Amino acid sequence: MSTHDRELIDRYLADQLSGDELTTMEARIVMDPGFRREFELTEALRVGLTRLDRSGEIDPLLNDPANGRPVTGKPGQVLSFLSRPAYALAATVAALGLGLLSVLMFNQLQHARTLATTVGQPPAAATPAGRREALSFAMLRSDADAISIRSPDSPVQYDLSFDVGAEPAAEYSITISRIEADTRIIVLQIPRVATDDDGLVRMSAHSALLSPGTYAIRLAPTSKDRTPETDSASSEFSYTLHILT
Amino acid sequence: MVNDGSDPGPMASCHPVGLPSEPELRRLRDGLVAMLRGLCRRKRLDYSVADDLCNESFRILLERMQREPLREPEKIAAFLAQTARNLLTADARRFGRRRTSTGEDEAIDAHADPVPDVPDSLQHLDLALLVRRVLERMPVPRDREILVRYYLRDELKTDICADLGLTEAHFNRVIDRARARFAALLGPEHTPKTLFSLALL
Repeated sequence: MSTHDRELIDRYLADQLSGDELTTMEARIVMDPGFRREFELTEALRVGLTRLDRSGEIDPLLNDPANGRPVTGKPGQVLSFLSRPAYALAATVAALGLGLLSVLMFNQLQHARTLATTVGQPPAAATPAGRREALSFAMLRSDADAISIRSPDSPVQYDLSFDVGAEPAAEYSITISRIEADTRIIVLQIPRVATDDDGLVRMSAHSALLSPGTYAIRLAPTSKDRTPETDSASSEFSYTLHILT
Repeated sequence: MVNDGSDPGPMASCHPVGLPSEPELRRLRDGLVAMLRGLCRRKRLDYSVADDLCNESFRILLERMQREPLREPEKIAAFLAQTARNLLTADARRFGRRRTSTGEDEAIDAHADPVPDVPDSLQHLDLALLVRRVLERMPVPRDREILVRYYLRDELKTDICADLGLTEAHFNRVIDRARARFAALLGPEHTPKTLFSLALL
């Protein structure tokens, strides 16, 4: 449903429509079953909120951050720290070492696997990036999970953002793997990145890490976020990044 | 689907030219009843009024179309909706005039449930519980505040955005996500069939 239609329904139920708008609105309720469902959904949402308010449950939900995910200043402070691009870069470098170590161990134990996992080569020397480039992976695009870009002529700091749907987890682990035939080489692994206030997950990466090729990016909720409801493959997100020569 | 008169059908004698087909009329009736019941809920009127007014609206439509076809047949739903609303308004006035004063009107009104009922298909659901789950899963307290101020307090979007320093896009994102989550909790019948919402399930 479009934002315009949703707002029309919202205003109708708030008694803010009159004249032609009111007539058009009611005619659509009469003749359009899909629109009517949205209308009934909105009414149900308002009724639910009203009942919740009458039972005195609204104020605690508004005032108590413990009813949602952690917010800045509480245990989640370190997550907010990590979510800032500048600090996320520093965290990225630190995480790279940890990621490489874990990949090494993983590789030793998994020789028999068809899908071999090898260690990515760290960049020899990361020249300071002269500019930044934003890469947004959104769920709403038709080709939702893939982005193609050209390899930059000069060092670039990529600011990656990921739309992980309506109910994002509080934090994700991010793994970027280079795809080469049957091999996936992990080039970057960040164990914990907090979701920003606007519901997006953000991280930064230097172009030296991402040479031309195809990369699989996987976001998985960290263990603290897993509940029976979210503990499924659908709570993980995969995106593809093509860097063309 | 409009009857162009080439196929008179079994109800030709009482089926004016330009009147929609029987299945289409049934769909319009369902829609009109839903609209009227919604109005009755919000105006605290007897539910049964909706069915009566729906029948009355269709009677007026048929009589009108037997006299002369609608100038804009595609606006038959608007004609029905407008007729039904007018009838409801008149009915409410009549009810007001008939109302017997007991001298205890204020006390009686104080006991009336101020929360309107919900559509029949949602009667069996604990809507408060579902809304609570939606709110609990909203990651940012400010987003919960947006939902409450918009849908419970009926505050204007522009006021909320100005007050909280939000862009319209951010506001819409919060509302759409909350609605999608709520729809998912209500069940597939109320889940919008969009790529975005399917990705949530």
